[in-house]
Amino acid sequence: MFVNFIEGPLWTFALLVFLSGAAYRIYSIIKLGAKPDLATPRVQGGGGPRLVATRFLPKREFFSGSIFYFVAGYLFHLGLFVVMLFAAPHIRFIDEELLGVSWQAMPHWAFVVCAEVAFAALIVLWLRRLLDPVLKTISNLDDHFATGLTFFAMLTGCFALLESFAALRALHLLSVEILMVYFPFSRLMHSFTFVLSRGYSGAAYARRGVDL
Amino acid sequence: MARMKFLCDAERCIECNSCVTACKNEHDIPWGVNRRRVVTINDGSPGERSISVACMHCSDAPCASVCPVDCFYQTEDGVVLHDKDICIGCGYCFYACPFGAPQFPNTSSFGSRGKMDKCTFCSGGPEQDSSSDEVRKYGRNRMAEGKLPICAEMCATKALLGGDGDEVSNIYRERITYRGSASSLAYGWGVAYGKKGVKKGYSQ
Amino acid sequence: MNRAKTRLVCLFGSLVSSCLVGITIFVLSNGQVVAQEAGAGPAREALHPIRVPHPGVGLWRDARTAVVGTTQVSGVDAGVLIHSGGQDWRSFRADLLVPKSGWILTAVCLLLAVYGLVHGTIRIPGGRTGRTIERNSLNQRIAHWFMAVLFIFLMVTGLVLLYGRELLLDLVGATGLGLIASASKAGHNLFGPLFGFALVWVFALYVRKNLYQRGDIDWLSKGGGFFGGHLSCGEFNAGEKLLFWLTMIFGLAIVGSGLILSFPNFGQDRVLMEQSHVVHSLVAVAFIAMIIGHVFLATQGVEGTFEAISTGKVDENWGRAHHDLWYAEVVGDQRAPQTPPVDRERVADADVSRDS
Repeated sequence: MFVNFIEGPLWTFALLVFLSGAAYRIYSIIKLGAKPDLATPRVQGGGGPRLVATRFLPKREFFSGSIFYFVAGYLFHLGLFVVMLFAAPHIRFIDEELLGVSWQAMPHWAFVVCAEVAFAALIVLWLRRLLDPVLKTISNLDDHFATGLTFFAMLTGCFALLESFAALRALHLLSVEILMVYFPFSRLMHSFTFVLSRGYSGAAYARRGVDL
Repeated sequence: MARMKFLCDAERCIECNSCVTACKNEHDIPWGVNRRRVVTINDGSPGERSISVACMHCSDAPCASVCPVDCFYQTEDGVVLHDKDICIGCGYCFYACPFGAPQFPNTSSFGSRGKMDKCTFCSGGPEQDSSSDEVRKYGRNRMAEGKLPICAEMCATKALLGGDGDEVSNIYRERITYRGSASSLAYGWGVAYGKKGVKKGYSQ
Repeated sequence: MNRAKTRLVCLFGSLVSSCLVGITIFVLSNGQVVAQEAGAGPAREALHPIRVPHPGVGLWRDARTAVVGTTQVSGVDAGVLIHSGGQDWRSFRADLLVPKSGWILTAVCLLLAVYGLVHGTIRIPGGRTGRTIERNSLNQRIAHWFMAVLFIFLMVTGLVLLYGRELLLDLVGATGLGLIASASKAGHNLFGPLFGFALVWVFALYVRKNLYQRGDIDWLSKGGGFFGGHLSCGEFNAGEKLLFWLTMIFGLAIVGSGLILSFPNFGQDRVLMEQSHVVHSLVAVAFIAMIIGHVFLATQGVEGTFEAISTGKVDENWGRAHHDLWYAEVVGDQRAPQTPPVDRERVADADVSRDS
């Protein structure tokens, strides 16, 4: 039946596309290499990893202008990651289908609270993208589709919360699989490439003696 | 067609809770869920009465009427059962039931009560009779084996009667006739404690 | 002159009638409970005198009227032998709430449709100037749409739970309805508390603009201009202020009762749950009726209104026609004697990066 297809071959396909696609894109970015910098380095090494860490917080000069994105962005990402990794149904799934290990799940109320936080932040951020005139102009289909697909995956997860119907669980799994297949070809790759771009900037700036 | 009913004779119930224990044991019921319970009114005073209560399998069941997903059904014997696969755990049946029969395994946050569970008159559920699915979800199906509910079978004093409604009421009527009315009690509290022992309107 | 009157009658009529029906239902249903608990025995005896009462009449009367006994089993209301209130609640839901609320909501939609077809949209007097003034900041618009999106989702999932058995069972079958209802219940319980946060956010952003001002009662008594003549008002007219405060009151009631209902783990007894459900459902029906009216008026009722909440800017003639005092204030600010005329749109756009 269709549910068996979603839980079986389609899941394997999505996982393969996700892993190999992401790996290929990271590899191709690294392969591009960097232009050789012929100036004498002011500081020796370490700039890349340093910037990856420091850019998790905005600099003091820009803080007041970016509070909204800072708070909403972190609420969404943290909420989503906590839900994905520490919700009991997800741990069970990872145990059965992926890694074969499980860990302590968080209590049900914590699961729902984190999900609510992630939902609220995502909706507010998407509304901002639609209502702010500048953001509306510069947003393209990729932006909206990625946000929409993520929202749809979360929504179907919410619908399947009571874990009573195979069809609802399959719908959630299907939306996640579509997300995984779409992932390597979209802006969602920022989840891996942010390390590369910050690393590159950090290495380049640190060589020139910029205070990171 | 026989209509299955429970009747608990308050004069005979000694609050031993055997019915409660038998039910929990027979159907492997988890902690916190109590299909049957014994309620004692005026505990410790003369006129104390205990009554064993579980689902009464009403002819016009309010639980069935209020369910938003219509997961209840009635068997040919008049037993009210429900389908746990469809149940959404909203709790409305618990609010509507006069006897508080529906029980929920979780009372946790955001209304995640889990699937409703209640006395099935030992008749299982919509799955195939005595299949492993049915036993896992609804407990043993004694009726399919031609037996009566375990709570009634286990009752130490035969206070709890369960079975064909006509038979049950015949038995009870016989008892009442034998016992006599309030003024001429042949046994019970009135005999042991005199007039003081009978709270007004509390015999039978 | 007649169009404004009809508009007011439709909106206020549906609002008031929903509230009145709701209050009546609530009082009646509670009245029934009180009558049953108090006077069943003696009343019956007065009608049919019985010389030899049943020997167990005292026992069963006590058992029926929520005498709380002791029990070895622990659980909510485990000591209550017979809970009569459940029947009243069930009857309220099945015989009053589900059928009557359906008619109320249908009536509201029909009335508005009739009004819309007969009367049409109020145009901007003098047409559009093409110049705009800012009415709702970016933050305000995000807050409003956040609340609106949540409201629509909660409305749909809530109505599935209310009307699912009546309307959907025959269409999708038992398993289908179970599936849809399961999804709706999960969604409704999860997004409900978020609506509370949305209410707080909107309250914080709009409360100071919705306080009473001189002229509000006058505006209401003249039906917002329905009965003819021009009415002055500030940034928000009395009708909008009424919407704001009713939203807050309804919202508080609905979130409060919703939280009681969806957190049964604090040992709430059945009576509290039933009362919460009654409040929740009645307020929901009134709220939905009111919001249907609000959506209609804000989109179809008056031309040039919707852009206030979508782009945040309204045409100057719209401001002059419908909120003249506010228009004078805003325009007056911008046109100080010595400074050259400012292109308002460019000023507003440049403001984008800052939280306004």
